[in-house]
Amino acid sequence: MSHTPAKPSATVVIGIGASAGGVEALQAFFASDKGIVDAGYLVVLHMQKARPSRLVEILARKTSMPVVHAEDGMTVAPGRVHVIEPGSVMTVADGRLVVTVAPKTERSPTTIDRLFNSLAQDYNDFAIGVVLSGTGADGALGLKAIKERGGITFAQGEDGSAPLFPEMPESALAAGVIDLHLPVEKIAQRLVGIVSSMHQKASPKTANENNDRLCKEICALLEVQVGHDFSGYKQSTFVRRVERRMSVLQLSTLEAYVACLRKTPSEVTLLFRDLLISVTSFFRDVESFDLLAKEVIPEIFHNKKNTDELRVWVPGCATGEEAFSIGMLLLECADALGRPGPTIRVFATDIDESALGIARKARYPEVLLDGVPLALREKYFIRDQDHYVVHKRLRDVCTFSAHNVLRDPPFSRIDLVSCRNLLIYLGQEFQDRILPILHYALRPDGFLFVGVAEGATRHSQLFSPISKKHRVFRRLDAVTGVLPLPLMTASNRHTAHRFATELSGASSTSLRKQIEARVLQAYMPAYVLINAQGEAVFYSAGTGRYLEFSPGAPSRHLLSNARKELRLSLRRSLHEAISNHARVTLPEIIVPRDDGLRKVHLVVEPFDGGPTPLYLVLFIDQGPAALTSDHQHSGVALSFDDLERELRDTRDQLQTTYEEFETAIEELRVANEELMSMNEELQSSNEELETSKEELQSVNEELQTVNAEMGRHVEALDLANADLQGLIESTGIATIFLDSKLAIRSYTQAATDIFTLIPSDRGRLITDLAHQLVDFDLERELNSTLVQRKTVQLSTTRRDGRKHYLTCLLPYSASTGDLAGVVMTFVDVTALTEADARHRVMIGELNHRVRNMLAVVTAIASQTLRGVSTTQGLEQFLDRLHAMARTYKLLTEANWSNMSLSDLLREELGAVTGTNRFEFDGPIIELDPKYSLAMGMVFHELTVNALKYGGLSNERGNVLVRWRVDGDRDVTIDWIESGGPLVAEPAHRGFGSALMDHQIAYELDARCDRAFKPEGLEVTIRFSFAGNPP
Amino acid sequence: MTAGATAPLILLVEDEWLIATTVAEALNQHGCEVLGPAPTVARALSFLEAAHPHMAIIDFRLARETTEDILPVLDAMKIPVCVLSGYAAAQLPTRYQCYRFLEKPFRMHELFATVDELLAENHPSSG
Repeated sequence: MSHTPAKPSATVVIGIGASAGGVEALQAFFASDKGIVDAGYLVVLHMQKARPSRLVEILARKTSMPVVHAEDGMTVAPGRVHVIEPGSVMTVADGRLVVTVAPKTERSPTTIDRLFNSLAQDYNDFAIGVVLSGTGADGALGLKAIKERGGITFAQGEDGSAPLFPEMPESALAAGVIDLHLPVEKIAQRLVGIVSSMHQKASPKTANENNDRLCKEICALLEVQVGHDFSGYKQSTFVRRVERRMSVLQLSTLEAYVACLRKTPSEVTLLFRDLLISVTSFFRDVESFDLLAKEVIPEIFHNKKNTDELRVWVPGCATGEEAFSIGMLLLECADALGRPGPTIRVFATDIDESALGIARKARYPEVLLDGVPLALREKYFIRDQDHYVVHKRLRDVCTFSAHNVLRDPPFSRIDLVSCRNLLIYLGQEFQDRILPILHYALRPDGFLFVGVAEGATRHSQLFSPISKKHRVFRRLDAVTGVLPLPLMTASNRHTAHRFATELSGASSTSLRKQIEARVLQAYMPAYVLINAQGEAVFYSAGTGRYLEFSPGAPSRHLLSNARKELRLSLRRSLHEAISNHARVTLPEIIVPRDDGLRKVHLVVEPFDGGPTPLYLVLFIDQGPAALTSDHQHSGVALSFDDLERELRDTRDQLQTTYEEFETAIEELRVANEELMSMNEELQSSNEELETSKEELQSVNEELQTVNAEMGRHVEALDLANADLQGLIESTGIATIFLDSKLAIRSYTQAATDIFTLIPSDRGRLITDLAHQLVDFDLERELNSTLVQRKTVQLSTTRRDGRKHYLTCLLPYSASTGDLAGVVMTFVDVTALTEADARHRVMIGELNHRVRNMLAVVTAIASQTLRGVSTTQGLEQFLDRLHAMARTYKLLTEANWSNMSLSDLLREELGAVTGTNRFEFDGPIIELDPKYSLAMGMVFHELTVNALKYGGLSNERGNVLVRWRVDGDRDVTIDWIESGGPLVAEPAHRGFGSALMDHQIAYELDARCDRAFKPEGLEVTIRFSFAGNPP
Repeated sequence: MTAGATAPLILLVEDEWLIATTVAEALNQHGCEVLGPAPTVARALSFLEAAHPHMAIIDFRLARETTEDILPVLDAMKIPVCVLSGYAAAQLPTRYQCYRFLEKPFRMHELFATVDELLAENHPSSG
């Protein structure tokens, strides 16, 4: 694939992946990102399917860049943020977004990996991948793909605003694919520089020759520091890797980078690792794998029966590609065998659990499968969109487990160790320690397969090369070295190593030191450095004269290796020196040698200088001993003194040994007891763990239930929210929602007619805004709403008078009972108000007309009837009309609603009599218009009668009108005249009394009784508000 | 109107006593017999239970109700109706639009002409 994308614009694309805790991290990211206009942003967040996301709105608040939902076919525009929709997969092809529906069957999400994979394919070294907070390992392999193609990778770091869920960034780190591990704010800042340097990279290169020279210099630096020659590497690959590092460091010129390499050795190491990044890919270094497949593996199979087990160990397997590569080769070979082959087991180990987690998933983005031949790809992988899942057969062969090569016991009986990724991360010292371990793990004739940077050549006694070029070695059997198994205590190894380096270092400096070294070599006494347990830690040259190996299992214990002549004296002096921690000298011990007896001066002295006590045992040769007859015939003619002394010595020795033995027994007993109690403790903590595990299990189940319930509630809430939103958007009623502090929470469009509102006014105090209403003290009304917690309702008019509103301020409470806020509604009642006004005008006009009509009728009647009828008749007629007109007037004034009985009486009596010789007594009774008109006529007739014949006809009499209400609706009115002339029942009844009796009887169902008492007329009127009380 | 074997019986529904009495007296003089007058729907219905008038003269609005509830009974009894009202004809409910209509105030001869017409149309034998 070409590494210079043929895009219309060499846009840099930044892919950002996040999961749990990602919204916060994204907000922080975009808040501190001041907008890189020439890079496109693609944001992928693990979201629950079928739930609409507000992420776009959330991010839009934080950044000045446009934020959009990713749509299929959309161009990746620079300076724009494209956000994935829930339940979809966003990838990129030819600079355009490809959005598809996410497969339902996925157990763990891979949306980030998919995006990063496509970015790597489409943008190569113009892609940037960022992994923020989240759980799981999504994104790690995607970042690997990006880095593989020369892009830059970021992970959210621990310091600063740490990720809420660091698992996802940590997985990426564990996969070893992160260039920059920074807090989220710093990522955004660093991106600015990196993007601009990427743009520079896109511009044409200058001065190729100069670059060649600098590249050579870089190669030289690498060779000096890490001992690997990269001059044979493909120039373009090499330059691309160097440019990547330059981008990360924000260096613009090769010169600056070379200077940086010179200054900081750690950068050399980082470049070295970058150059070797692809070692972890499938079948990287195809030729080496070819050799493995053609020569090594068939040989392993050849020696196996079908009952055997073929064991392969891949230490430092990282994300598993190497293990699967070898697994494929093994399975291929087994298939080609044509007979039942041995059981194949590939042990792939790493110290990092999260990297192993990725390996166990056995699911790789397409980019990482570049090295897999098509035939193998079809056979051992199942394609799942742009990912490949390892076939079960291959997956079953490989066992992934956490294991530390340096600390944990090694595997054993291994046929092939493939260790192509581990040693580059380790220094020389650790490499030297690991190779013997690998040697130990292998069967005789087992094979070792190491990476480009690691050499087994320095351990030629352990391994013999089959191919130096491809670094395949065969285990050698005859080995004299001591296996520094991890079981050894650290201090021993360390001390030994220190001495070795010090001594070898001293021999290579100045002339004086050379001479001293020569002298030391020639005349130095033999010595052994031992620890307090008597185990040898270091041997000098020439100790062979004093030491010899004892038969049986090899031991490092000095005493078991000392010559028997020395053993007793050595034991005694060692014991003395160790227990007293003081120098002990034993003169003149006779030691037989090939060239005769020698006198040896034995010195044991404490050697201070290490963390653990060490003792130096010196064997100082004192020259030949005299050949005495005693010695020649030892055991036969020893002098008595000698025998005695030897016996004494032996007894002492025996005593010492016995005591040592006792102590050892005691120590063992104590140790045993300790072990027992520790065992019990472990047992009980195991039980505790078991219990808490069960508890956790149940808590987990509960949480799951609660979570499901929450999910349902959230759904219901979403629905209700959508309804509410729809209502707010569609309603024509101006509504403003205020919180308890009177700040605007939301409002409907119609409210902008009354308040000058713009979206950014949300959160402002409503009282700070001007409104368009006349005589409306908003602050006062709101305060009274808040204080009294009562709905306030009032009519308002807009300043221009065009609109009238029924304004309603409604306080509402939260579920806690506290005031949650106030809803202000302004219902447009303009049409109603206008109709009302028109109505009033019309009623006024009609009232006027009615009374006018009565006046006209009066006029016509008096004009027409004058002279035709009797004057009395005409006067009566006119009086009646006037009485009716008066009642009409009262009714008009009362707006044709109810009027009080006393008003009706006062009007009639007052108008007609012109006196105040009347009294009223009774409760307030309201009469409706029908009753008023009828009763008005009755009172008129009674008044006229009283004026003519009754209580008001003289100067003394008066009228008492008394009324009462019984049982709410039965009304009794008494008209009592007194003080008038004597009355008698009239001979005949005129129209007046007929009208009185019949009209109210007919219209009101009333009864009218008369009593002509001597003191005056008494009229009693009874009626009932039939079903219609006043 | 000539005096027939029997005087035509006319139901009068009117809540204003003055108008009711005046109209009733005028109809009597015209040779008709008046059933009622009735000031309420209930009273009118009770009259209709007792007798079967030849026609009905009804006001539209009574004191607290309208005469609308009488109409189905009158229609069922096939009694021709003349409506009296202070409202204009167009203001009345559609239910009333099929009846003869006299706007208040009216002259008695107008009423008589309408009564005679309706009686002649519906009861030729008694006309």
